[in-house]
Amino acid sequence: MTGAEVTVDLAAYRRNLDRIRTRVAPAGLMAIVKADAYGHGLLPIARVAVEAGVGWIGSLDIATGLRLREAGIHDDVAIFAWLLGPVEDYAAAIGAGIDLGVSTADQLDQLATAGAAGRARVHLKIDTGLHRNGADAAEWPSLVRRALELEDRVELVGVWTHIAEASDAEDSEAIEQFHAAIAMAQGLGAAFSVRHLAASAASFARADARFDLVRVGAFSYGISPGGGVTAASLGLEPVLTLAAPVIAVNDGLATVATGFGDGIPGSAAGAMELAIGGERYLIVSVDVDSLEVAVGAAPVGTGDIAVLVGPGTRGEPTLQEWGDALGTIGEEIVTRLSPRIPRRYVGV
Amino acid sequence: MSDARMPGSAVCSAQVDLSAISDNAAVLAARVWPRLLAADLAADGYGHGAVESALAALRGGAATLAVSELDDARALRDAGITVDIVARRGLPSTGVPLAGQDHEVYSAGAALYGLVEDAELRPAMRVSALVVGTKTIEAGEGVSYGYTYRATTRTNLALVGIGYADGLDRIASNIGTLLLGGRARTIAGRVAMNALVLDLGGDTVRVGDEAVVFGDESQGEPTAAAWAAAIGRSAAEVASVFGRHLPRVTS
Repeated sequence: MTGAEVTVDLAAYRRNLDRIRTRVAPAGLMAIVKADAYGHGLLPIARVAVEAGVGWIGSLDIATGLRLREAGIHDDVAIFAWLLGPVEDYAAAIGAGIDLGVSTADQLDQLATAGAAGRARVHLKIDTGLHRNGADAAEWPSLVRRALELEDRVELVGVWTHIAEASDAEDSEAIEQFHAAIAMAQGLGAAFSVRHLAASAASFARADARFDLVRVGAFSYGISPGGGVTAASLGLEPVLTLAAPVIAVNDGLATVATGFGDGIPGSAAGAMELAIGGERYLIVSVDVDSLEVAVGAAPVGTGDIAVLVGPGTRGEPTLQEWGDALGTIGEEIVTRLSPRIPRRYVGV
Repeated sequence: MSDARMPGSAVCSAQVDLSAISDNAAVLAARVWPRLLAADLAADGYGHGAVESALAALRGGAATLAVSELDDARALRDAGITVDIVARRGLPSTGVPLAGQDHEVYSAGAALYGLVEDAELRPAMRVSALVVGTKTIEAGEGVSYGYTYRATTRTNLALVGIGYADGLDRIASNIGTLLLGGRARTIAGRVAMNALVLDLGGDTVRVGDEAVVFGDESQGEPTAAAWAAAIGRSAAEVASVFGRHLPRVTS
């Protein structure tokens, strides 16, 4: 090892998927693999999900969905993309059988005129308070009507929303609005085979949030929801370990071969520790391709392996500790890691 | 940018102006003379692309190249670069004399890419993203996870396709601003993994409009240094992280 290396435990990922499916049944699971599978590596993660029998994969965007299809994930597995740009290659998406999360009538019209041979598989999004995308209550009937008018080009597959997880009461209100939107759409003649609302936290916490399908990313990678709830208490295991070698030791400072260019937050200086030989040491500075750790007189030498984050089995901090110490969440720590760090897959 | 209008093109990107790297190299080479300038290419050229940045720096007057480890030199050799390449990992990234050369060599990293406050140097990276949705909310309504933002009055919002997985620090939530429709717009609520929301007040924008995180000061755009300062990061870190996650468009 000459620089940083990420180890991804695919067996742990598989066990997390099993744990989630048990928890949310009879609802189905959509495994979310956006952002290069939260920095874990898109294709190895997606293949494990498919082998595990997960029937839905959430890709975020069309380009990622097409990559998954090209990698041999066939249309017995549904792929859902919902971040749609102003101009998309909808003909390719429809041809590849990618399900599309649609918020506006304009997007429906783009789909309908894309020149694809088949019908577009569409999930209509209602905004229940998060206020990112999704039709608001006033726009919803016209969005549903437009989808029905375009039924020779558009196949209505799903209805969905996203909740804010600000409070249980507000989430309950969002769930109520979701039910109302579904009822209104059905009144207009729409039928949906899948209804989905919950992501990781709500999928575990609330049966009334699960509907037919839950969209889970963070928990599948063993990333805890924060707020004092650990991944372990939910039966989930961290999947990713980040390590780098010690390349010099001088005057009580060990230099480790990773830095902010690999995605280690500069704000870790003075705020986070890492583990060498099972012992914790404070990170004192972070440069572009190296960082320094205060080791004092401890027996740390060149070639020793520093473990920055992982399940904690070698004394290293967990993602939760990183998130808590830096005022963020584990998702940011893993997605910030450079895609150029070599990923090693174990537990295949 | 015209690229943004192509079907299937990315909703967010880092645009790299190689002429800025060449010009900065020329300024820095003159300053360190008679020492020679080494272009620091760590972290894929601080997110600008190591090979393209190397060629641009050499055009501007860099005499040698610094990489993290000699393995990183392979791509430079494959691109036909024959100048001396030295390994720099573990050395401070600003202005270090590098030993082992016939001449004394001075390594420039952040300055080469225009990531320091210096009137003679130009930033080489511009980061922008497209509006992918718009909406209007009423007073009292919240935005994004945890509702950490609530509108105090009826206001217009733009959903922009860039988030923390693209390198836009989550700490910018409710703090950072992006330039959209000619004005700095504050991020409303939490930055999500792949999207954020801007508060437009009474103004309106359209899907497809471009929001600029940082770019060319001479065009009225905020600088990388200003963005970094607003969120308590270094510009070198900000550029490195964006450049390693965003699709890069080089000119």
